[in-house]
Amino acid sequence: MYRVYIVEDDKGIAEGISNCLSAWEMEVRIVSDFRNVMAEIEEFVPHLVIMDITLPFMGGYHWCQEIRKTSSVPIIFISSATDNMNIVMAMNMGADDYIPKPFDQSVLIAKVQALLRRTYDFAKGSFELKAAGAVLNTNDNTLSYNGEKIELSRNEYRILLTLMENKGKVVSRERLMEALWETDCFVDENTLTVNVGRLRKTLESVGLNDLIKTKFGVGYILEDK
Amino acid sequence: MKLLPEYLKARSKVIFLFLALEVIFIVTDVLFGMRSIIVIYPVLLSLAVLLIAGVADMLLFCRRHSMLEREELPEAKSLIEEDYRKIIEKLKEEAEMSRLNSSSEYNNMVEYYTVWAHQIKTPIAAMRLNLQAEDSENSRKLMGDLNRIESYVEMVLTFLRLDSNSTDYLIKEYDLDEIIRPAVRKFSREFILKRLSLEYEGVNFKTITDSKWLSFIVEQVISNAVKYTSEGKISIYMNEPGILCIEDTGIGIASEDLPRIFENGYTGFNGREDKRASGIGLYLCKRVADSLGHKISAESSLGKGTKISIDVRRSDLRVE
Repeated sequence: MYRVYIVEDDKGIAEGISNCLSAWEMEVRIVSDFRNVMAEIEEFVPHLVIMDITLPFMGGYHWCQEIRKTSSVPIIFISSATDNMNIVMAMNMGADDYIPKPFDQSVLIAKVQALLRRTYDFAKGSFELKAAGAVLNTNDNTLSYNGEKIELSRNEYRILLTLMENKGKVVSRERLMEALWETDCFVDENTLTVNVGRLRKTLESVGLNDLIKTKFGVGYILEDK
Repeated sequence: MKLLPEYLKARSKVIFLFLALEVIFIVTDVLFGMRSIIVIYPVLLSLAVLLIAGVADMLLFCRRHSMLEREELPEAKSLIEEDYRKIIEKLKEEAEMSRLNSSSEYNNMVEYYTVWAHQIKTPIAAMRLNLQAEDSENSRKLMGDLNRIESYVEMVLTFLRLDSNSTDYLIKEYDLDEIIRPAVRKFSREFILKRLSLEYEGVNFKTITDSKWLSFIVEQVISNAVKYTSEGKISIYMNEPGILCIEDTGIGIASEDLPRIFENGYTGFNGREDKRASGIGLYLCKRVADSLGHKISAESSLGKGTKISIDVRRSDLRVE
């Protein structure tokens, strides 16, 4: 399990980040004492640090430099300052990436995963989602089931990913369309229906019948049997 | 030489007096019955002296005039000039003081609004993250409102940055699709919620611009299109290379409003119906477009839809 350490003074954001990373089976810890960030890092030994720039007592740049004295753990800055100067400054201080606030969950997860993938070449989960014995791999957009591996089209992958992230919950058609729009597939409702139909056929080809159930008038659900 | 009549006007009294005296001389000489040579000779001599003195004086006059034109004060030659000089210097000083005061007030204000805009982004970010965790009709509506708040904050920042000297432009060649796609993505929820379809297949055009500023324009235009369209579609296309069109099937703009929609604070008929309109979005678009060297224009027919065209070509600026 990857450990992610969050240094952010806004509770809402810290918990929001924590919730969406937990869905990917990452262990998340939120800073508790802003004076002792280094001690907390030494104790928790995170694989990745997410840090705000403006913090109480000492700013993010300070901690970033402190961390860099002893560790090369990847650091992502999040900040509401979007001018180029701040981004350049953050990178110069030793940060690995920069996400301007406000950001979308999917952007955060994609950046976190990309950074983890680049930094650590050993698998620790966090790049795959499991449901009903099927494993969706985000590294190569494939689905494995009973030793069989199939490639998914971009839209199929995106739909299945969203359903698996929310397994056991009804996912509205709107949410699925939003997920597709995030990857620049500007689909309408009819196209979504067609895409779900195709995904079902693909799943059936490896014996995953009825993995996706329709909730009439609402959306779809993928249950972890 | 244009100054000659001006000079003669300024010296008219002296010249008139001189001529009057000459006339007195001539008249008295003639009355005393003197020979004409005795009359003409001194008159010609004194006219020559007048001419030489006049030319010298005029050169001085021109020099002082050109000094004053450069807003430099020549040395005062009389008490009256000295008085004027004092008044002017006092006025100058006062103007400078009030300029300094107002610019420091203005800077304070800009600084505060900038800080405010960054402060408010944190709660927006928190709400966005937490709303995304919930998949419901309500959260989607809230998200729509949140997007609107966010775009108003962007407008504040744009408004402040437009007049600021420290505005950072990064002018280089950009792929237009890289600017349009994120802008469209921003409004995905509104599109989906209102069941509007989007016709956009990429425009495949590169242009020299600033991506942040052009994004602002594109986002504002798409935002308006989505806001004022309740059914149908929004199309983003480029029929003529360099002219980006964003067309909707919305309520349209009345023809009498059309020429003024890019003015500051002008809301027109639609704006009066919809209390949210501030009349500032398109005004900012126009300002930003002007500073980027792009052109923005609108066509519309009431009840059928609106087409905003952005001419992103520019020949007047070079890559830095």
